[in-house]
Amino acid sequence: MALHFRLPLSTSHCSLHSPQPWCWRNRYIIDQRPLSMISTSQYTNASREVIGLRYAGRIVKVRSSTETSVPSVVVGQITEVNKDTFWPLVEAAGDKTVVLDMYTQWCGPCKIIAPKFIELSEKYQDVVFMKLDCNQENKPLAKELGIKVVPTFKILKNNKVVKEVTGAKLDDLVAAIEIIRSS
Amino acid sequence: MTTLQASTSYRDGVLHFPSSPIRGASFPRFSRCVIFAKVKPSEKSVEIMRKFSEQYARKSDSYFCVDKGVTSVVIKGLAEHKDTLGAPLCPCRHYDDKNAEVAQGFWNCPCVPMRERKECHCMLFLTPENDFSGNEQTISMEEIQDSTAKFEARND
Repeated sequence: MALHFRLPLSTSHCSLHSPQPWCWRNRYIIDQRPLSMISTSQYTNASREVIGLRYAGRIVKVRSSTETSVPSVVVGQITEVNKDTFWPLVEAAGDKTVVLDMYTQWCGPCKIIAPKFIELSEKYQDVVFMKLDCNQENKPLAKELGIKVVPTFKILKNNKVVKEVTGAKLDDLVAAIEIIRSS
Repeated sequence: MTTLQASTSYRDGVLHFPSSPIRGASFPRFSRCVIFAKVKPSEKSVEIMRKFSEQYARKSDSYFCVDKGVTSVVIKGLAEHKDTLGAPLCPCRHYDDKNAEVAQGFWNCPCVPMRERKECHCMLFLTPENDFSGNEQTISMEEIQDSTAKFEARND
């Protein structure tokens, strides 16, 4: 017997790769343990509903009290995003300005500007600040957004990239943020 | 209570957990779970890139950043690319195809902008006029390890 669980969106450095992309779209994974191995007190409002057949056997949808169905944006600090969480969070930001720091692990200028980026996130409480590690895992998103120079800052509004700042140029970044948030 | 047996292998900076059935159970295997870990360069490559950086700084009349943490991070980035790609590709750029870039050579350190115009985007080699330029052309392994440990601790 297989169960479906919802997973909260991850904002950690590492992420689990699900080999079942359709499950990620629906934010479910399949737990293939027999029902007898799972304590029923852990789950409430279990309903038997056929969602789809991934493996042989029935699939049951179960809700967990620890999950969130809609991503929530945070202001006043920086949110680490990845290729799976970025666009949902941008969408959740609505008409707020979103500033994304695209960095790599061993980029020196990225380390210089990182504390300043934190200060900006604390100063501009009406702007959503995010950072993306442009590693192998997030390469598809980095390619989609477009990046050559590291760091690159992308400023988004209403789900679209409206401005870009290449390099660790704090003054340019502040000026760009001021222009977009006042527009 | 059954326990999940797992064996891991580490390849190319990625931890692989091969799927493995639970003992005593007769249902399909768990799917593979892949976790991408932050990569650390080998000490040997860090030492090679440290010596190269000192040598090239002297040769080009450039200096390390007043914040040696920046120098350390870039040296480690060069070392990591040397480990994985065989050449010290610039760690302050993003590439569609790193192997092709290595073969092409433009961004292999010292990159063409540095060789031709003494422009180092990574802030590894700085001309004396640069606001961030220090007055040193040497950096020790201890400085590299200490500085990068601080950055890693801050980011955790």
